[in-house]
Amino acid sequence: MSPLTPPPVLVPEGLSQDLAAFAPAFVIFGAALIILLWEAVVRPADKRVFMGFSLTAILVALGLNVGVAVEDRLGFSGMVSFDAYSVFFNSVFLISAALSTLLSHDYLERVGVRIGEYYSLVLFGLFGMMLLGMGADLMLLFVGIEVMSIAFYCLSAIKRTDARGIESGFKYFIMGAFASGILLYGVSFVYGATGTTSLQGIRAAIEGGVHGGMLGLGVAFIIAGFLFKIAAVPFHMWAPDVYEGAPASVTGYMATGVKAASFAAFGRVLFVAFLGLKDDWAAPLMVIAAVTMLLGNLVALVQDDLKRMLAYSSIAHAGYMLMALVAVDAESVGLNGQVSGLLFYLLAYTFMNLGAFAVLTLMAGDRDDLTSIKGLAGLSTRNPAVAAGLALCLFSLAGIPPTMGFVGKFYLFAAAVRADYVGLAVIAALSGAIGVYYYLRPIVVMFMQEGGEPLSIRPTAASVGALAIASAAILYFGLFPSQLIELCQAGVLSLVG
Amino acid sequence: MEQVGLFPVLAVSAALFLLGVIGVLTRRNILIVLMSVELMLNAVNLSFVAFARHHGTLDGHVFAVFVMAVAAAEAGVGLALVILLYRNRHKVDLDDLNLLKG
Repeated sequence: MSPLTPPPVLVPEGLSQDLAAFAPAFVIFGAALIILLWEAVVRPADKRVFMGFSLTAILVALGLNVGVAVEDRLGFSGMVSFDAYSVFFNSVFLISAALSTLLSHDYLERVGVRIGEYYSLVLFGLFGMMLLGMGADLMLLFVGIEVMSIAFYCLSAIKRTDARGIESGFKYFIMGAFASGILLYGVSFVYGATGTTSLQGIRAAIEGGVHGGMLGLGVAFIIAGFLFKIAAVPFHMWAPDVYEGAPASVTGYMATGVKAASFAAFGRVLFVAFLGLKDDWAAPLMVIAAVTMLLGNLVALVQDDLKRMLAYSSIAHAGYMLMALVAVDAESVGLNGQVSGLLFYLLAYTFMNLGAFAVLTLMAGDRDDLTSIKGLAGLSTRNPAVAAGLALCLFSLAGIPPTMGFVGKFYLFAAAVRADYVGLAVIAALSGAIGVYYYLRPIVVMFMQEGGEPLSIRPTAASVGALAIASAAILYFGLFPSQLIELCQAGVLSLVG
Repeated sequence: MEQVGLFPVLAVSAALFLLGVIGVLTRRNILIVLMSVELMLNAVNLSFVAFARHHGTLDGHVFAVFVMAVAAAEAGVGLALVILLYRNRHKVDLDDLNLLKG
């Protein structure tokens, strides 16, 4: 053999299947890079092409994600998990990104942000979310969290002349980096106690009898890190400021996509790695869920700004979803019944919240976001279609039938009752009743008050399209939820396998 | 050569982490807060490497390299945001971040 012969290339087993299953994420990552170069080299004057290109990439990825059947498996040396759970969550992220992209362009033009990299950051954030949905190892989950978060730090401050946007981006950055540090410290303790960072490996180690203070401390730190990301009490204080200061299109994406991705990873970590310790983490999480929904709903009551109200309501919704994580039996049958409500509710929340944010982007003035509830007065006579769409989204957020939000809430509350958490379900129902009041207030203003000085609402085709898609989904899945519920259950079953 | 045991290293790491947390929570200068966050991440790296040697596996070393790469990216974005803030207000103090009230 001559010394110049290259060494044989070792191809890991199943690499081609791994690459095929990972294709949706590749499409998104590639599209983000292309936009980055496109904007740097060509710098097209009309940024609408980027919107079209992003939407195409997202739809292709959605088609690959849903259309290509993948058998449940761990890919890339156990780093990535391909299963019904990851397919479901990837679809949620892709839908959230598609709707946000759709309502971005006209809004950004109006507030004077003409930056093509915006779309590339949206896609990088989406790529991070997809890593969070698929990650089967704490190492990949950490990278996913950071890829997602760094994109959102930039997105929040994308309007470089807006002091509030920069402040929001910076607060998000400091809080996010601090939370990552705490999460990582927890990961290092769990690694120290179990000798592995793979979720399956941690589970095996815990079943094999690993226990003690170091493991407990690690689990507590990891949970605290995730609670930061989903903005649960007592780690919620960044959320209202960041949500209010960031551009409306970014806030909508952040409140739906980032929350769904954090819950996806949180759920996988709790149920794959730490299910054996359920008795230890369920009780504190239950208290946090109850306090989160009460506080979110109570503070939302007194807000006069629609955007800030939706920020606090987003905290309250995180509380409802935490309830699904708590209301779980250690046996896999219980896991299926209760946790699938979380998946359903996250998709419902994506549609109803982004629908509401589509209207918020329409309310934006030429300079700043003007989103006071009073500005909605008389909207029903000026733009009946927009008013009806917003009303439907708010009804759904409040959990009034026949909307998707009602089915989701019913599903969550029923699961909590079935798992014998009746007290938690009662608190959830009470705080939900508080929620009805502040969700109905904008509707009353829209339909029953004539405006003193109404805001100029200039509907554009893309934003109204996003609102229409969200409204159609809210109604359709509110009336015919059974197929979607089966998908959610399949997702959770694949998790416990 | 005498080897340092696991627990002295962990103690140093814990002390560094605590210093970082205290810095983030109490200091008002944004640059010092940024440095404190970096201190937290480096404390985590130390802890990963110590555990990796204790277990005799490579995972912890690899994780530390990932953390460093991510910390570099984060520092880049963080400093860019500080520059934006400074251009906007000519001050870098956390107490001036008061347009949005939580």
